[in-house]
Amino acid sequence: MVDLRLGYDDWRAEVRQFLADELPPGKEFYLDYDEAEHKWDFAVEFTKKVSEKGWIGLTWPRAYGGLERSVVEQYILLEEFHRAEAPLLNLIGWSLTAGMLLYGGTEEQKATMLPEIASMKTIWAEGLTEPGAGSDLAGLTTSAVPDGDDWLVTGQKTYTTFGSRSDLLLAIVRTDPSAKRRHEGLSFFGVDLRAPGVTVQPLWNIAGGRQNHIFMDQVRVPASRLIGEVNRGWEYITRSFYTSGVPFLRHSTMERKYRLLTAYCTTAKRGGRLLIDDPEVRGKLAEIDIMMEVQRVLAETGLSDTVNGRRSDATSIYQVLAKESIPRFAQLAFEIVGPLGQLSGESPYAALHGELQAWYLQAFGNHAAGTPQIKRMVLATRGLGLPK
Amino acid sequence: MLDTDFDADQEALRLVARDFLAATVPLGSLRGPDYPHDVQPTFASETWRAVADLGWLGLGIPVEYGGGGAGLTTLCALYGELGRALVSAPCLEVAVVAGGVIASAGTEQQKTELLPELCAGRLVVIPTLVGENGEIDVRETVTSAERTDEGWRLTGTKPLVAYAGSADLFLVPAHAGGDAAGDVSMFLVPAAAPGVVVTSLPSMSGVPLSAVELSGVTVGADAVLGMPGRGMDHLAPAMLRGKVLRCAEIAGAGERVLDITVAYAKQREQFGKPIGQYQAVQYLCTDLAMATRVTQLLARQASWILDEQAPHENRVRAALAYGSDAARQIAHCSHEVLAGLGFMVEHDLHLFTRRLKHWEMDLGDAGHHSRLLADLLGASAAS
Repeated sequence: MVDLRLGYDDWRAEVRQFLADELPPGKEFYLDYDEAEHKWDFAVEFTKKVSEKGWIGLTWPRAYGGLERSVVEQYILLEEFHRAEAPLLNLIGWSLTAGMLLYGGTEEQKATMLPEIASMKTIWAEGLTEPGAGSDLAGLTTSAVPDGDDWLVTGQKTYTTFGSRSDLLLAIVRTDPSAKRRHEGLSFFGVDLRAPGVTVQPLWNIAGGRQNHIFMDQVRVPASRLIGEVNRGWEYITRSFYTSGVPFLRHSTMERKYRLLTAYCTTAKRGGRLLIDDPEVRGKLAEIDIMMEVQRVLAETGLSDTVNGRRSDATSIYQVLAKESIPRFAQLAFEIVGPLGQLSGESPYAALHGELQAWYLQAFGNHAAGTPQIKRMVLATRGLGLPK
Repeated sequence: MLDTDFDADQEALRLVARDFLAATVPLGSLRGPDYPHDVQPTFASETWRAVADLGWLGLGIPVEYGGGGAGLTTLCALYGELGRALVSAPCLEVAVVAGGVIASAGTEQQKTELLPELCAGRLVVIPTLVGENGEIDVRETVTSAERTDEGWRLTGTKPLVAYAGSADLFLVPAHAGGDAAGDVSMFLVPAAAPGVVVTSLPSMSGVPLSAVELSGVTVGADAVLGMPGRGMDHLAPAMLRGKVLRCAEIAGAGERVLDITVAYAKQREQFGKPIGQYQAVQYLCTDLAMATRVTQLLARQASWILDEQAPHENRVRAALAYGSDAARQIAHCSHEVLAGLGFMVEHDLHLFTRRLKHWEMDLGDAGHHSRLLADLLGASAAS
């Protein structure tokens, strides 16, 4: 057994110092659910400062705007950022697009697109989901046909977070309608969201954020924006979706919420005693702590497996448990706090500054990037070898 | 052995209520004027008047005071439908909780003056029960009432009052005469009295919530309801009956959420077949169905127990604990099945989600009723 964190104390301190300098209190709200202009502006400014440090491409080759640092350092960076609930933008560009480019992009694409992501010049939105293709991505119908040196893309993507604020859509489309199997004949494009033929329609979520419908009608896309090679889209997504090198650290974002909750319990009284002294409340706090601990050990095991090039079961298990823990956490927090948790905004009566009701509503977004049921099916079939 | 099916009259009432509410309360009416940025429905005044005119508001109030004199089992048939329709009006708060307290604690004069007006929908009496820390044990309130020459002076804050903006009178539990612990006294406070400040508060709940602040509000001696210091004698049974009907509402809403969820699971196809063919989805749908049906059965049984004054408070508490948690489970299971679709404001599911969260905690959450159940079980084990 080896402690992967050993030797990185200085690095962690550097990251913490950056956050202390650049992230004032009150700015840490999770951005997917907040459309206030000033928060978006702050997030852009904040992420630009991250890019100035070179930390977006932390693990990438220097030739593409990276710093060639280790995945352990990236893990530590993201752990600290998630703990602080830092308003990082362009995670699609940072993780999915970059992962795909590094795996299958042309040399020219790697040399141009990656530095643009690393320097926050282009913000990417995810263009996978369609009205008829969610969990079943291969059911997608958006298509692209060649037209001279370009492609013409037609179809609809949906639930696109930041669709109205992004520059490019990482869109998977059907390029070979005659392919024998559904997941063949698919390709990825970077579609300019401001190109003629693109219409972005708002789709509001119940937690106050905005997703979007993206309609594409004969949108002209230059061949240079076809990621890698034509008809290799399925290979690209399966290789980069889970292995983009950016870990999913939901438990780290839970830490700040947990601290807020325990702080509330040390000041609020019910039944004549502090909540923190109530055995039922203590049991629920312990359940949350165990939940975070379980995810921490799985995330770190996933990291170790990556570092050592081992096949990992930890990431699949993490995906299931992390997703299932999101509504459970919100429910436990509500049971601890009680009815004042319903209040939002700045009212003095709103428990936890009105955040609890947001956690509860946001928890219904735990389907994003795959429902918990789909994650279980992945674990059962790919992990345990059960028949499909 | 109890047959929980409604009798012919109750079933007829249920069907009339379902048809009437289906025709007059479309779900779209629950969306605020600045939807989706404003998710709080306003008091549905037309539905309120109709419910009063149909005699449903006063259904459980004694006949001699303008009501229908019906028992809780009959109210169960009605409230299941009010829940199914997500009616945005304080029927339960006014008619069952406040009306129940007035009918039980009021003097002849108070009952004669107040109840017929209440049944007619012209007098909105809103209970203010949640205490300063979100406490549902009403005796924990720090609202106080001092004696004055003319009556009483009330000071305190009720931070979470539903439909306070529509109130003519507030039913306010407070500790009287410098006694900060023990039982409360109950006061009727005009919403328009000097020193009453109602502040509307934004929330996720799907009902209009406000803080009601009382800053030295003076009321006459006749504003006391029942004997000072004996408030819980009347309030506790009214809250118990109210939560039984909340559970009926939860089951009513649950039936509709189940319809929405099962229809989607049949229609939505992924990987070439309806998602309802996957066991993971079938389990969610059946959990939802079981939680709904069991809540309905337990609420009906509890209403019968209370009507018959049968010595089974433990069964009533079990029903309330189960039904409160079912509210959470119903919303959870449906969201898991509908996933992205149910997460969007343009779908109706969240209208149920919001209301179910409020009902889960209103008049005591599952933990509260479980604790009271445990007390009963402990007492019975010790005896």
